[in-house]
This record gives sequence, structure tokens and C-alpha cells, in this order.
Amino acid sequence: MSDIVTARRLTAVALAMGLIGLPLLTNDYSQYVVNTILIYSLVTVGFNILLGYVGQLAFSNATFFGAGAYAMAIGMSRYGLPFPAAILLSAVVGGLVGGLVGLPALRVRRYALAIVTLAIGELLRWGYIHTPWLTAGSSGLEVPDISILGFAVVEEKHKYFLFLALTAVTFWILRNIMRSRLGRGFVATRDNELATAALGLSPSHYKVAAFALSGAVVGLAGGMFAVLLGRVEPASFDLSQLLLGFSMVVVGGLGSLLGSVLGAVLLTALPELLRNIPGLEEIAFSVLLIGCLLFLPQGLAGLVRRLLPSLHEKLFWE
Amino acid sequence: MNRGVWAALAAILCSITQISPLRAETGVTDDTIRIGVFAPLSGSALLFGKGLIGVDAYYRSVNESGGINGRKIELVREDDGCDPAKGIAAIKKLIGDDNVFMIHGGMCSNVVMAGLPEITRAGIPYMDIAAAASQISNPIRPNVFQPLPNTGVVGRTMIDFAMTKPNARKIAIVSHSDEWGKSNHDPAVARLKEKYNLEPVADLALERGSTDATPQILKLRNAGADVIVLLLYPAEAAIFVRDAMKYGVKTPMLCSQGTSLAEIEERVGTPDAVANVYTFSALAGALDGPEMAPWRDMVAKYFPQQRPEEAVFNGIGGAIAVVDALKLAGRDLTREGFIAALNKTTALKTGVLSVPITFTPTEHAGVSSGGMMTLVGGKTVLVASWPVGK
Amino acid sequence: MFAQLFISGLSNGSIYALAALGMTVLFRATTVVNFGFGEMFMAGAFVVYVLLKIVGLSYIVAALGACVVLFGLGAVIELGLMRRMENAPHLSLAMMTIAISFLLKGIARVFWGREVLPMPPIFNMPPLEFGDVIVTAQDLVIGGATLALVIVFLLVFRFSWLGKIAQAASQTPRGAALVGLNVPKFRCTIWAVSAAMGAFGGILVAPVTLLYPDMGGQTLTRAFAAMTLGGFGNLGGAVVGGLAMGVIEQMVGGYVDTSLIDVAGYIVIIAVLLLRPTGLFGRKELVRV
Repeated sequence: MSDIVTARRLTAVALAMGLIGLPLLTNDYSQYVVNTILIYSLVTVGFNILLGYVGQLAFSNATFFGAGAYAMAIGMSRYGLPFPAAILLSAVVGGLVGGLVGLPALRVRRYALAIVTLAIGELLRWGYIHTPWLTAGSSGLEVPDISILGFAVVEEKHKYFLFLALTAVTFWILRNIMRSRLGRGFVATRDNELATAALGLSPSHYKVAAFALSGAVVGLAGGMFAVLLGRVEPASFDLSQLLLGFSMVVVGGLGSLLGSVLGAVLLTALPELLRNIPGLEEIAFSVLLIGCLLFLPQGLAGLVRRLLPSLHEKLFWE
Repeated sequence: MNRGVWAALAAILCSITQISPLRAETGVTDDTIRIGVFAPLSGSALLFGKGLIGVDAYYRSVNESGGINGRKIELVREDDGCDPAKGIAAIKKLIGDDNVFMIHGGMCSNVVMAGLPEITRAGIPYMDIAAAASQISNPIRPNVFQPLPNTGVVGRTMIDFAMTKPNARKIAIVSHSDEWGKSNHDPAVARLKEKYNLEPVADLALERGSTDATPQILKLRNAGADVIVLLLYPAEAAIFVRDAMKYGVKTPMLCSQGTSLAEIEERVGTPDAVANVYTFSALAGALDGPEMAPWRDMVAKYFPQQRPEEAVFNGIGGAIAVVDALKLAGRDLTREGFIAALNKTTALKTGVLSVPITFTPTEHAGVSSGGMMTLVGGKTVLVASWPVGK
Repeated sequence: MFAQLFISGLSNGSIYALAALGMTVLFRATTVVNFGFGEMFMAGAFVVYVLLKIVGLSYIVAALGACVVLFGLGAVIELGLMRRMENAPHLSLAMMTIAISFLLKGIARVFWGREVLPMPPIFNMPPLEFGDVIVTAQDLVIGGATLALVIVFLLVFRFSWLGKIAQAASQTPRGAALVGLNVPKFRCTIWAVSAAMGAFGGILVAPVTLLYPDMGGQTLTRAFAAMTLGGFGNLGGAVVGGLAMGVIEQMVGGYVDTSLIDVAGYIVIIAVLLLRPTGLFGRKELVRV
């Protein structure tokens, strides 16, 4: 038993060292890609809460992502908020939007839920386009350069540490939530709503809480995205963004923290690696997706579990 | 095993010796100049990537006639997918990974705007291909050049042209709500207000991918517009023209940069479809005319499968300006020298554009006017004001 | 203006109705929603284009050929891909249909990514005028063909044994198998039929929408709105919903604001799901505990 614990601790330390030392190996371009991966890891984990944990077929990752990004951009450029306040705002706005989206979720199921969350997301995007006094409309809103405690965070390497810190803290918070009573309530709701209700718990509360939590996490990632690009525009949060987030969850593995990260890594790195054959990107992407769906129903996390059982991490639902 | 080791060593040696000693400048070697290109090379925005073809063809023809001061141009292409996130990655790759001397790229204004901070920080010379937002050259950035009419110029020209129609008072505008549509729409509305003190009689939206323009056309018919300004992509413009014909609306229609009369006619499918249509063009003449013949031949030589379309030729002017400045900057090529040479571009007659290109240290919007193409007597001609009798 | 908007709405709505019908047929028979149905339209239209322009067949033969090809494609998709995912969660099934649609789009883009191609219309007649209202030959063809197809399907599903099989196979596959129905073969056939319907729709629609790899995207969301409005899973409802969506879009554009046309479908979806989740004709879903 202590062997496994030591092995796990060593792995964790090695991982931390690797992550902190990563900027030594990258140039500006590859660091940007790494930053993108970090952000999408957070998106995937957040979205996985809804999809994998609570089992709600909700097409709302792009909605929350965009809400958080716009909160950051509007907060900083229109209201002059400093970065720490703005990123908090991203999470809060994301959570609020999540909660609001979660309410209709109580009335509908499955495909109807998917369609209505899609509709809400697209309507919100229409809102971004047609309220130029707030969002600058289709031209896009510039995000000012950020600074923390007087230190300007402009270079990719500096942004990396900021994003890494935010992501790590969020992962840690999420992990604790999932192990708490709230997390068990999520799983119970997914497995059998009626039984959950019969036990005296309220599945509706858990559902809305899940939506809000997912919204907060993905919204936070959206705020980071706004800082990464320096610019937000409505077109960034359309159906292709939705599809990307979705694919990362499915490829990575439903309900798995490790899987979410792996999915984000693969689906961000792949288009960059395939830059030399631009015409085939769509085909490669769809073939990969089909392959995963057919042969890896539990995603990359399932593959890792099979190949490296010692790295086995408790799946959220075990 | 041994053979493998020797082969590997040989390969390493070969690659080392092929890396000629780098000059003082990134991206320049004894015999090549690396020019980086970012444009949509994949996805639904492939439609907008045609400008790269003309630029590519021009550089190839320059290489074939001996290059510039003993060096040939090597193009490095990166896909931006018309998406800011991917575009920034493409630009960073070109600057920091592919190590190019300058960047000649950008078809989508939103990508260019998102990438400008990066380009500005790196100080790398940047020549736009076809991204037309006026914010690219305004405010001026020392290393950023825009060699074609931007949306401010397009909007002003189209409105001024519309007002040359005798007794024109009611101008209607139909535009996309996306970034491109908005960047065309706003300067047009502003021009109408500031110079003529008019509001558009109708200001309607027609979204990308629409297949029917009935509500818009009926509304315009009721409004009694004298001229309709269409700020739409080519396919949607064709659908609008088709539906206008269907409902018997004969109001003259003006189309924005990048649309071509021949394309609209082909898509609408009826012979007199473009009788009342005018398209903004920066080109020297009609595509099938004598002015554009050498350029058509040039593109056909390197891209025989490509049909001649307006968009293919729109970026060539910038390429000519680049080559001109490279020649002027001399054999001892540096980025500063190149930018200084670009700033000396004075009334450069490119032959492909109707207006010469001028860059000065205080003005990097190189082309400040354009004309409208229309059918007169069965032939496509470039006109500066409303043709008599139309 | 109202009459013209209405007629035009019915014409556009026929296309949405066709798409909604194709998706509902599949859903009713297999409980799978094909999120890639728009690409069936696109694939059908491109096959016609290839057969017409490159192989040089006549329009009728090319159209039939496209339906046959797509029939085969649908069967292949079911046999090769969907069958292996029988027990997968709905999320994975949805993802699979999306992935397939992406693949089709990617393939089309390799050949025609830079083009927006015109498709010759089926009949070359001048538009007809009924007083103030103008109707093109294309409108009539689309409307008529959709109507015919809808009647055929409604009759088949309601009154024939095929309809009963569909109900049985979708509600209890095991029970149906026990009774001797060949459920896998039935599923395969339904996929093939649904794909062929997509081809049919694509052929009708391409002269209006022009031909390009992304042409199917808009249709999908409108079809969803139609299915939601009419009641998910209800064949007649899908058709009525489609026609209604077409008219709603035109009315919103003509009387309210042209910028709302694209989102009218989304507004309808949200309104319906908030006010009357079962749609106009749907029934409340009874879930066994």
C-alpha cells in the first residue's frame, strides 16, 4: 500500500517539476500552444461535470466559454477592472449563466435538452453581435494587457504560469467538490433520479448546481481565453467551438479528470501538428473521433487505465 | 547498424552545411528570402483564401525571371482557418519557429486585428493581402502596410457613386452582421450621414449562408429605394440579385469588393441578371479585358485549374510593392531597410490595380480609391460615375 | 407583402419539412437523432452534380443515381458504424453522427472547398404570377415533391406493417426480435431510406441554395426547430413544424427585423420548450420506473 502511495507521490512531484520547467523547452509559438492546451483542459474538465458526471446532454460549453470571455473583456476594457477582479467576474458570470441555463434543463431531457441549450447559446451569441454599445459587436472587443501586482503579464511564458496556477487551483477545488456530498449527489442524480428523490434528496437542486459549477469553471477558462487572445469576438463562440469542446470530452473520456486533460492535449496539439496538410484537417479530426467512439468508448482515460493500471485514478463514478 | 550510424551522421552533416551562414537578418540567406504567409487554407473559410493564389503566382514569376538581387523568394504558408486563435498560432509560428524575414498574409480582418499586437511587438514587416478593415492601417503602425482599398475607402466610394445617380435620395443598405459586413457597413453609413446628411432609407441584414432574400427585397420594394448597396459575400450577393429578379425589382445594386459580375451572372443563371449590378473593384479593368490579360496569363501559368475571379487578383498589388521595395533595399537586406524602402513607394503603377500604390511614413493605407464595374453595351467596364442612360 | 411572405415561407418551409421528416423517420425507428442530416443533403446534391456535369448523365438519371448512392451510403453507415454502437449512450451516438457529417464535409472540401457552384434548375420556366404574388417553378417543384413524399410516408407509417415494425423495433428491440422481426436489417433499411430522403432534399434544394460543402448547416437547425415545434418524433408534426418555421422566419424578417431571421428558429425552440415541451402534436413521454 505504501509503495503505491510513494509511487503516486513521486509521480505528482515529477509532474509538478515538469510543468514548472516546461517554459525552458518552448519557444513563443509552442508556449502559446501549451497555454491553449491549459485553457482547454479547464474547459473540458468543466464541461465533463455536466456531461460525464451528471450525465446531462447539454450543448453549452461554448455558451459558458463566451460568457466568461466577454465578462473578462467588458470588465477590463469598459469598466477598468484589474485582472484578479475580472477573472473572478468571469467565473461568477459563467456560474450565473450556467444556473440560468440549468433551469429549463429541469423540464426537458436528452435531445430536447441538447437542442435548447444549443439555442440558448446561439441566442446569446446573437446578443453579443447586436449590442455593440457593450460588446463592440462583430468587430470584437480588445482586452487590455494585464498586470498582476504591478508586474506586466504579456509574454506567453508569463501567461503560462498564471494559467497554470489558476488551472491547478481550480482542479484542486473541483476534486474536493467531487469527493464531497455534493459530488456524490451529482452521481446519484445521474444514475437514478427517482431513487435520489426517493432518498429525500433533490435532483433538481443537484442539476442546477451542476450547471452552475460547470458554468463557473468553463467561464473561468473563457476569461483566460480572452487574455490569451487579447481579443474577444462573437464568432469565436459558435458551433465549431461547441464541437471542439464536445470532442475533447468524448475523446478524453467521460467523467475523468485525467481524460479531460488528455483529450484537450490531443485535440489542441493535433491541428497544430497537422499544419502541413491543411486540407486534411477536417478529415483527420473526424476519423479520429470515429475511431475513438468505436474502439475507445471510455476515451483516452480508458486506454491509460488499461495500459498503465498503476496510474489508475479513481474515475468519478466508481 | 554501422551503416545506419553513418547514414545518420551524413544526414546531420548535410543539413548543417545546407544551413548557410545566416546574414545579420532573420529569414534571409545567400540565395533565399523567406516570406511567411497566413491565410485560410482549410475549413469553411477556404472560399476567402483566393487572394493567396495571385500573390503566389506573382512571386513564382519573379523567381523565374531571376529573383531579387540574386535571391529567390521562398513562401512559407501557415493556415489561420479565418479564426483568431489559430491565426495567432500561425503568426507566432511564422515569426518564432519558421523564422521568416517578413509576413505577407491575412485575408480575414478579424485574424489580422487579433494578430497585430504580436506583429507589432516583433517588429516584423507585414504586408496585408486582402484583409480590408480600416483599423489595420489606422492608427498607423510602423511595420504594417495595407496595399488595397480598405473598407473605409470602399464604403465612401460606393456611397459617393450611388449619389452620382441622378436624383438619388433614398439609399438602402443590406449587409452581413459579421465582422466583414460590419466593417463595410459602418463607413458607408457614416459617409451618407457626414457628406450628404442622409440616413439609409433601409438598413437590413442578410446573414451568411442565407438562401432566400424575400423579406429584404419586399421591404426594399416598399421603401422605394433609388440605389441598393449590398455589403454581402459573393454567393449571398448572387442570391439577392436572383431574388430581386424574381420579384421584378430593377433598382440598381452596388456590390462590395471581391464580388465579380461574371460570377453573379453564372450563379443566377439568367442572361440579363447583372444589367443593374455594379461591383466595386480596385483592379485595372474588366477580368476579360486587355488590362488584366497579362495577369490572367500569369495566374493560369502556375495555377491552370483556377478560374479567373476578382478575389484572385486583389493581392497582387501588394506583392508588386513588396518586390519593388526588396529590390530598392538592395543586396544588404535588413528589415529596417526594407520598411524604409516600402515607405518610399510613391505612386507605384502596378498595372493590376487601377490606382497606384503610395506608402509614406505617415500613411500606410496604400490605395485610397477604386472604381465600379458594370456592363455597358454588353461589355464589362470600369466607371467612375453613373453611366448615362442606366 | 403578407401573401408573398406566406407563400415564400411555405416554399422554404417545405425544405425544412423534408429535413425534419427525414430526421424524424430515423428517430422514430431507431431513437437516434442524426445531427449530420444536413450533410446528407449536401452529399446528395454533390453526387447529382458529379453525375450531371462530370459523368454527363441527364438530370433525372443523375437524381435517381444520387438517391441510390445515398441509399447505399446510409446502409454502409449503419452497418459499419452505428451497429457497433448499439448500446452506447446517447451522447456517443450523437457524437458519431456529428463525426460522420464532418467527414463528409471534409471530403467535399477537398474537391470543392474553394467553390460555390451553381446548379441548373430542374425546370426553366419564367415565374408565375398570381395577382401580387410570385411563385417560381422551383417553388412549385419543391412544394409538390415534399407534399408527395410526406403523404407517402404518412400512409406507410400509419397504415402499413412497416409502421408497426418501426414502432416495435424502436420501443422494444428485444421484444421485436423475439417476435421474429429482423431488427438489424430493419435498422439498416431505415438508415438507407433516411439518407436517400436527404439526397432527395438536396437535389431539390441545391438550385436554390447553391452548392458548397457547408450548405447543409443552416437546414439542420431549422429542422430541429421544426421537430421541436411539431413535437419530437411526430411525423405529421415535423412537416407542419417545418412549414410553420418557414413562414415564421419570413414574417419575422418582413415585419420585425431582418437580423432576427437566423435566430427565429432558436427563439421558437426555447419558446416551445418553455411553454409546451411536447410541441404542437407530441405526446408526453411516459417513462417506466
